[in-house]
Amino acid sequence: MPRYLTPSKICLLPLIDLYLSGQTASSARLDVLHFIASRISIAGGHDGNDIDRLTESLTGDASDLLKPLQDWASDIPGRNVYDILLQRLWKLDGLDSLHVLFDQLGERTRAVPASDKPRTGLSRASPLGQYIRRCCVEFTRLQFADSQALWSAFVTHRAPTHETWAHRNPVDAAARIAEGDLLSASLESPAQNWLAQGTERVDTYLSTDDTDTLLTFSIHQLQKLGTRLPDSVRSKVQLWMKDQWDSGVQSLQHFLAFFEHWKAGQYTMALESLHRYFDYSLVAKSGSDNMRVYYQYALLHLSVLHADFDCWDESVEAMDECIATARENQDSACLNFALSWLLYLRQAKPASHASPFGTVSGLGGAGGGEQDEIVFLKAKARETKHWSLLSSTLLDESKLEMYRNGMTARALEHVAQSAYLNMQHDLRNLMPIADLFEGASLDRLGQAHLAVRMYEDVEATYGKQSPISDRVRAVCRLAYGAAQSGQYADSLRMLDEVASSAMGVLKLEQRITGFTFLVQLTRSLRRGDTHAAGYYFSQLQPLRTFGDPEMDFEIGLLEIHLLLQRQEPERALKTVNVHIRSLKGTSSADIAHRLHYLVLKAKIFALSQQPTKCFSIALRAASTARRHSLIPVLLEALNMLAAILNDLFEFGAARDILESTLPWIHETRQMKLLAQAFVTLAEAHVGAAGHACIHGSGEQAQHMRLAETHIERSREVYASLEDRSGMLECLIMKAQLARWRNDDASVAQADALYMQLLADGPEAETGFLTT
Amino acid sequence: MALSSEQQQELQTQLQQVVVACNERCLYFAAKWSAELLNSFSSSDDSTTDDASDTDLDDDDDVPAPLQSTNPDRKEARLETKELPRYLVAKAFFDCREYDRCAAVFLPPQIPHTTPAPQITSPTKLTVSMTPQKISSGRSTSKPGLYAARPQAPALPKKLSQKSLFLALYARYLSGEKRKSEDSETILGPADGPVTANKEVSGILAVLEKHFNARGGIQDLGNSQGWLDYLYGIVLLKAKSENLAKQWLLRSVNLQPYNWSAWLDLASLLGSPEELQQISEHIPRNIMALFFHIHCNQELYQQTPEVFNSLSQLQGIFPRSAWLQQQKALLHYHARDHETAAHLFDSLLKDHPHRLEGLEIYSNLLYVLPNRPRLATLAAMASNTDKFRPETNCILGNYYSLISEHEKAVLHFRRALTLDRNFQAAWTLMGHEYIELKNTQAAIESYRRAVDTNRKDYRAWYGLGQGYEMLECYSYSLFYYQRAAALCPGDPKMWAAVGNAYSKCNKLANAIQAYKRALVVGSQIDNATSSFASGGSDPLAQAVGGALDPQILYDIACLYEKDSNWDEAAAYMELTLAQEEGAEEGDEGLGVTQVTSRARLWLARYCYGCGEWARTMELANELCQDGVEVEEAKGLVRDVRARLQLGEVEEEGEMDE
Repeated sequence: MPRYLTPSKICLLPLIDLYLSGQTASSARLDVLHFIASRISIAGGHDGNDIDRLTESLTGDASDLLKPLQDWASDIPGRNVYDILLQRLWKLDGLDSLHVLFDQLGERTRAVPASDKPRTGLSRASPLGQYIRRCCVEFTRLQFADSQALWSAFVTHRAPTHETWAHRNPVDAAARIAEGDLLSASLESPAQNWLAQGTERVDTYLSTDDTDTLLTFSIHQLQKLGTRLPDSVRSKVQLWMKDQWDSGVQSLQHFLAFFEHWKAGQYTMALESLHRYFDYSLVAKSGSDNMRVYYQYALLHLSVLHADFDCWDESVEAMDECIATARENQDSACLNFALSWLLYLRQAKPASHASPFGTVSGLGGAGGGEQDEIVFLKAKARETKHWSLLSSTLLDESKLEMYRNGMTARALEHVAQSAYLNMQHDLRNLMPIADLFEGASLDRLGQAHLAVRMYEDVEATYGKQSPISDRVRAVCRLAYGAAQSGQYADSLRMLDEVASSAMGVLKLEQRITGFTFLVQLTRSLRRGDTHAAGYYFSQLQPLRTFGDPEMDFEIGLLEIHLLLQRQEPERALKTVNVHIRSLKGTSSADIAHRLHYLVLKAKIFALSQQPTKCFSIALRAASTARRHSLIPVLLEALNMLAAILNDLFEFGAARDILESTLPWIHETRQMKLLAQAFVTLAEAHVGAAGHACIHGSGEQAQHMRLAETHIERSREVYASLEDRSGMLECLIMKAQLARWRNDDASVAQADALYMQLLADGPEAETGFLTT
Repeated sequence: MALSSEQQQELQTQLQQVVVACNERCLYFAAKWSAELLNSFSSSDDSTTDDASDTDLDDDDDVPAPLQSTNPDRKEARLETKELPRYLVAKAFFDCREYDRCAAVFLPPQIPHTTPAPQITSPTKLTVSMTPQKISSGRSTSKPGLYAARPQAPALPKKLSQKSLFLALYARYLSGEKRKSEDSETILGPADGPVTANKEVSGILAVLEKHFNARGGIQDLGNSQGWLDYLYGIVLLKAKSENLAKQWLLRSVNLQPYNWSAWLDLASLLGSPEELQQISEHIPRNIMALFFHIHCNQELYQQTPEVFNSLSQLQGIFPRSAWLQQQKALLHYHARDHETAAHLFDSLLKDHPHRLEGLEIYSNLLYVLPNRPRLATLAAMASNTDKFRPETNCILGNYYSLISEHEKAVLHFRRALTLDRNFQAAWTLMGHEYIELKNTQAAIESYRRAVDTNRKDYRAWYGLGQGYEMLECYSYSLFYYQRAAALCPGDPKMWAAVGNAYSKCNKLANAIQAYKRALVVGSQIDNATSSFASGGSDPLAQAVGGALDPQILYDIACLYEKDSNWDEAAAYMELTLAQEEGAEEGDEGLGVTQVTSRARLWLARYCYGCGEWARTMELANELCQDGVEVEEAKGLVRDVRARLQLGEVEEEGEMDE
């Protein structure tokens, strides 16, 4: 395989010459220069994110690659740059003409001009000059057979343009055919059979340089975005790789395979590939003894791999060794990165493996405490100007803040700092995750609409440049949020769409599937279809072992709802207790989760008619949530509290609470909570009408009227959520209120609706199951 | 010289037999040559093969049969049958290039290869050890002292057929050659060259000498089939006893006239047409002798009509012979008929697209023409056929040399030599490249090796001269130029070089003589010789218009000037000037060139010195017109004008008086 020169590179040379000799129209000069520049540094620009475009530019033939030139005029009227270039290309009529071409170009870039002709405005150091010089050097070092191969590849490359050229230059073409016949008759040379060769496409002539570019680019993409290669690209890369056993790319190939296997969830294969990569890299670079410098990176990758497959012990061992090696080699960048990973690992799997993780600060030399570790890392990052580390540490800190210390506002501040750093230092990789964090913290503040904006931002702003895992995460959250407000179809569609872009990364696909089931489960719970809900719940069971706390929590919540719906409060209570206990034990668990369970526990007690027990729990949850400014939980707890107050005949207090929380609830977009709040408020009004007012007074009537309005609103919300039990409850209450008013028509209407809903039930059930 | 059908049949039969015989003895190249010849008769292929199957007596028999049939001698045939299994295994070993093993099948285990080394390490020692043999081999006596000085000639197994003996010894010889090229290491390295010799040679010599002595020496022709004689010849050649080698090779071609390798080696021993004349009495009178003559004449640059004649005769018999066509092309090439030669080579290529022999000379031709695209195509073609043939690498080297990439050219020539150290063309061409690279020592060594391989290569001799000239060793260079001129008296460049070397050695008369010879050779005038022999004062009506090389004329003039022979100098300068214009009105001459302008300037000054003002004015004005040496010319014009004016004034003054 050639090292650098390819036919497409050769095609550029006459174009450069053409440009330099000013044969382009002045209006087109800039465009042509831009074209040349974009070809010279093919993967240099940031816009080269599309790997398909890159491969296409490497494998396309002359007619494809040079097409854009048709749009630009040359200095000859009626001819565009493409025509002129083709004329030049077809002037090359043999191996020798290639030599002549390079001789001429070499003349242009010679340090001391051979003749006293004026220089043609091409400096040796300019990008064009460098390109030409590189091409010349590479051509000089070609063996004869290689230059022969290059020539025949060039002929193949050029062949598709023959028609256009012959159309424009019929005389030349005819002469060429005659000459070609003559030559091929006199000397049976394969190089001259240009027409015959054009018909059969030999496989692409690629240089090592190109393959290297492509591979490096692919690996970079893989590392940055965490995706997998498209199948077409992968097969191409593998095909090219076969020709390259001698060059140093071999090890890179294994690196590529490592990522592939990793993302495809093939743990052992990934491990094998990684080992292979390092073995071969050692072989390739045996000349220099600095291979050991890269050892820590190998360990780093190993550790990340282990962690990704939940092999925590191995991961930590690898990381420890990595840190040791990094310190030995005084590679502070690697060390800091490893430390931050260790921090992450500890957060990800804290309780069960307290001992092997040790403390980062112990290694870093400071006293215990995670806060200290973060401070240490931040200081280090600032010291070494390692901005991405600083940014990610800030994010970590904000996470910690949210989980533990509870000041969501402060967490938001950290996120903002991180985002600022990202902007300042162009850390594109970290921008989407910062958005995610910001969205999460806004969610906690009850600003659901802002959070949704943030999640949408990931896809809208960064699109394909953001790591795929972040995108999937954002979409999952969006979808789940939509499901919470009853837009199940939208939500499922979103998940469906993102599933196609996950490109077979196992973890992400699992996540997407999990969320799809969650949405389905939510819907079936709302519809009161316990049978379907049970099915979905059983499907979700295996996902609980994957150690994704976010999903785990959601599954836990829905499990309890399911149990409650199945009228099994004892089991529900047990489960809740288990959850609360386990969350209490772990230091890094999200406090919001625990509070949520507490509220649920209160709910269970409320359902089982133990309002006093439930009151204290709800109150505690509410106060803690307020302290941590966890608005959604707080609202939930307050709603619970109000319901309990109702039960305790404290209707005034309940009304006060609910009236003050309702706007907040609106903001959080928790539709179910909203409906419940309306119902509770209605109950409070009814209670007030029954207990605090004189019978028959206007005040009582007003309370009843308000209650009726609230019930109606609640029913509407329930209807939008497709929540059957809620709707039925509302209809019953409505009928009762109407009965109180002696409004028979309304009673009949509500009853009719009720009966109809009941009748629809099974139908909806079956229809739902089929979806 | 058309052959009757019986004659043709007979020739075919003989050729077939010899192909088989050569193959049996592993003389692959001779076999190839003969087989090619066999396939270049004019008659249709089918009939010849049919005939062959009819005429070949033992074609219907099994494998042993043709082996027997090749040998008319009954005693030998009996021996061969007896040792057939051993012969077969030996042949198999040979074909697998296990030469030592092959030799060991028939020859008793010999002394390890390393032991003879101290005895024959230097070429001087080698010749010393050879001298007694030269004396002795004519007679049938053996000298014990001789055997003591070299590895003991092992006692030969008594009953061994000549074929097996040949195979065994040939295998030994090749094994020695292989070792030699292995020991030689890099091209032009310290171990390369005569320092490393074929260590088997002396042993083989001993065996063969004993063998032939036992059978009555060189005079007794009856008992031999010609193959062992050929081997003896080439081994003697390796041992540098060339006269003896010539005798034995002659004997071989007489006994076995269809062994082309023997003819080639014999040809390589001939240094001049005279030697060829001498030897032609001793060679057999058959068709092979004609081939031999053509080959020799081609090698000796004799492009006489007779040669062409016999060539066309042979082509009448073998119209499809690539070899003959190649010889024809080479003859034309040597006769500087480049167009015809190129045309011949082209058609040769067309007919035999995978035949690489001789194509390096075609590449030389294309280099001289020069025709870059065609040379590139040729190179591509050759490279496609086989990248690792010396011919291919020579072509590539020539191509790179033509596009001025001399390092790469040297690389390819070296590669060619690594593939075959006796590939003489590559040595010469590599010398040229080293001259280009200003590496004079390496160039001289390359040329030297070329000359050692083939003493008839005038280019290498010329190159040697050039190398020494660059080192400013003029008398050496003169010697080599003389050799080159002797080999190729038809090339004015050689004579000019000789003249130049003479003048550098301050032998002006000789130099002038040599230059004049160059003029004669280079001129296109028939009677030029006579006109110059008579002293050059004749009206040289035809010696104008580029008929003579102005550079040489100018050089002669300069030499005369050095010799203070002003008249001659002036005459030659005039002659130089005369080359600018055609002989008659309307004829095209060379036009104004650098050399003629210099001659004009010289003449102008000369006239100035002689006081011929008008002529000086004329010449100087011409110089101004041509735009060469304008300042100088203008100065002359001013001066002359001033003098003329002064003269006029004086005249007027005189008149006034």
